[in-house]
Amino acid sequence: MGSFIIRRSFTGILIIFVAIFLNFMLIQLAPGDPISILSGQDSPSPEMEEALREKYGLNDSVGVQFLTYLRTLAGGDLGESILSGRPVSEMIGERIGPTLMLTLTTAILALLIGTLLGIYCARRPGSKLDNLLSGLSYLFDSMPSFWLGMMFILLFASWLGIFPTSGMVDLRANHSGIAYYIDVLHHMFLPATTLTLLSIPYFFRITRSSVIQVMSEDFVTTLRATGMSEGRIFNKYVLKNSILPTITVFGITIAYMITGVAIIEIVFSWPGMGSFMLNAISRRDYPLLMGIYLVLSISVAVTMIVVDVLYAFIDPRIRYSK
Amino acid sequence: MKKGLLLLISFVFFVGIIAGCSGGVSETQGNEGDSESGLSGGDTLIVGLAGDPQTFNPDARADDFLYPIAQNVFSRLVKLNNNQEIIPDLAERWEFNDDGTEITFHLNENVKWHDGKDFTSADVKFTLDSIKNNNGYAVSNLKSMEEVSTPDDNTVVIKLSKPDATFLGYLAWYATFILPEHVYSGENWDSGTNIEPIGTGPFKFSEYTTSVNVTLERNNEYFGQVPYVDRLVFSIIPDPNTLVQAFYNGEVDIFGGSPPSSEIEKMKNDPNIEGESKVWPSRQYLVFNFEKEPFNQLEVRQAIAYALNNVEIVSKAQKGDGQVAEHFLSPVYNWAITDEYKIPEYNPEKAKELLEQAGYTPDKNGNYLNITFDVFESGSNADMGTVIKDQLRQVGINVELNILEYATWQQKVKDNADFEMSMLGGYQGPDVGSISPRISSEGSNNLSLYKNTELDELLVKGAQLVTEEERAPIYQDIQRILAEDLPIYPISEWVGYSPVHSYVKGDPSSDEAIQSTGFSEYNYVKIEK
Repeated sequence: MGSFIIRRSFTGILIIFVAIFLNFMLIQLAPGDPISILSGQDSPSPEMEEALREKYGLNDSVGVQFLTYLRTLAGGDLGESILSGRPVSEMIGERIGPTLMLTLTTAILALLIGTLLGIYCARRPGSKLDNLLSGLSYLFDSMPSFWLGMMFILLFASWLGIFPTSGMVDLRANHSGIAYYIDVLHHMFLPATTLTLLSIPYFFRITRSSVIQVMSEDFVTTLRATGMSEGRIFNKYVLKNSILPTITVFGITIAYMITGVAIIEIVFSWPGMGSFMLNAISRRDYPLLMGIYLVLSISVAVTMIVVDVLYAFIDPRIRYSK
Repeated sequence: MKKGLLLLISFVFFVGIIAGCSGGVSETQGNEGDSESGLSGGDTLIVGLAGDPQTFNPDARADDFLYPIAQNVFSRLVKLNNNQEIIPDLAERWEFNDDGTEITFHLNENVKWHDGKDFTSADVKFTLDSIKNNNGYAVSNLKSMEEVSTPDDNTVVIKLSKPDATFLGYLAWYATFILPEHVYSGENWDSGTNIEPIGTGPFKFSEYTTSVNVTLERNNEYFGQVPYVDRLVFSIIPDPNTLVQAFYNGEVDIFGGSPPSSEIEKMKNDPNIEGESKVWPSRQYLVFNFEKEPFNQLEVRQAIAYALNNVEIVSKAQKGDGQVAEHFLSPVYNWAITDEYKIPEYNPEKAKELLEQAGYTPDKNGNYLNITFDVFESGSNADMGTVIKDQLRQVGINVELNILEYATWQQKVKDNADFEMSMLGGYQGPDVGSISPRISSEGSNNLSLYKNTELDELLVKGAQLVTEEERAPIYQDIQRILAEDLPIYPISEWVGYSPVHSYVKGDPSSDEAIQSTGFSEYNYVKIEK
């Protein structure tokens, strides 16, 4: 098991390095220049542009810029945002909290609800509830997230008036203490519900089909022939065999949690990575984008290692075959 | 089973909150003690803001998300009111010397910074010198500034290298806020949002929570009209449609900027919403690449001018936020405008004649000419492009319309001049002469690559004269040249509409405030619910 983890970690680190290189080159290849964008279309200031280009080394060749970046990165420094002049690590740090709060909550909720519904329906395939939920899962799966979010705002905030339109706190009330946390929960309800509804279908479908598949395998028929009760067969043998794909999907969800809900965050003005990242892209803030991508690639690599290890732990075949 | 599920869900919520709150939620900056005093039950005014401020130095870089905040926290020597006129701010009066190369500003006395220290002329000198030495955003606008001297604590003298009529306007506009030397000197000049902004404006900075809000508090020591509301909160809402809903739902009192044009009519018809429409010195116009076929030919540019119907473009593509352009300079500066050189009247037949004159013949589809037209995605640009494409097709010009992301457009059109026809907008104030970078031979924003030494000389001359009577004939001459050569083709004037709830009185476009405050200053606002 130990060598397995070491091997996986080594691949993970390699992946992160390749990602840094690819990201850097891809960002530089995109047309546009952060300094001219900063200067604007109204009355651009050539003197300010030149001074900032010099400051951020944008006049150097791409190769030199990459080496400079690696050097600062080796010193544990993610650099400075071109647009604001602030340290990138600090800017990311401010926004990662609200994003994790939203995505962790919804990922776990969707996992629980989706998996439980999937198991329930898989044990009663073709029933009325199964047909209904399968239909609904396709419906929510095909809905654009910004549209569903906007509909929720129109319905619950504008029409019924029971939830706030957007943001994370009531700026008029200025709550503190326990009232503050309740206020945050109140604001989180709509974006969290939107996200949960949109991610339940993945867990539902993957669990349902996996359980149905395992139930039709020979060893289940054999166990049935021994007269073992359905409940016991399911709990002791089927569940463990059919839960592997769900872990993969959950792993992927967790890996992309930091940046994957940008659209929803923007629609609900949730102060996370969303608008921050899209703004960095459209304004070509190279150091900030590199920082975000670095955090993203580390998060993907780490989650994949954890999922692999978890797999090996649950399924001995993986552990011993390598 | 059910009970277990319920337990799990509540646990998940709990974990989520802990994870989130220990991260960034409670991370606020500034002196929180001060914000507590705002809880006294007084009025809070909430204004929408489309993005996070990037820096708390309003002079270092261009930052449109700081600009509305800066207008309330800082003061300038002089400022533009909401009628685009120059009015006193920190300087209560000023005078030019006889040849217009020296301006003496007499400052308001007993003005204090928000941290209690005295404001003096030394701070003015520090600010203007720093803009120059550190290449602040206004450095190009204030190019004619040669030396700043301070004969005493309440007097500032600015020496200009040449008479410059646009100087005062630029000083009253963007990135020229006077900053305290004891806060912004040295490394602190360009330090992002890590610094606490200290100004002399009507509101004091209280706190900033990333992507959530910027909160200001009333400055009781303000040298002008002390604000009526206790707290001014900028609520950061990046999605315009969400901001519209938050505004309708009363979570935002003042929209803060212009809503999407599709909402303007609905807002204007709503009895609970008020707001004035104002024409800004900001316009949409076409630019033509003078260094390439076919727009190096005058007849082709003229053909475009005759083929386009500005009335239709505005009514179809710019519902509510545009006004038809008729002149080559912005109508806001009506003293400089002449009816002698107007934009050509719509005349499709004439357009075809001109194309034939230029040597083009129709192909089997009736097309004289194929051109490309690059616009960037913003506001109603794409819709305008579509209407223009359609109008040009009717006179036999086949348009390939490219709608590009801004950064891509910028590289293609602005940096590489790899285009035939494009469209540009943006602020052309604060002086009629501010059009100069867009049409002069060496102008930083002269996308057409148009070169005319006569025009260059006129632009320089127009900027050196002082009175409107002296300047008007020069700018009329400039309009003649623009009408003859057509380096640009103006389509529409931008109409600013900033909606407020009707319980908000004294907003910047109201009668009581319009003469005295800028576009985003809220010291005259009262909430009457």
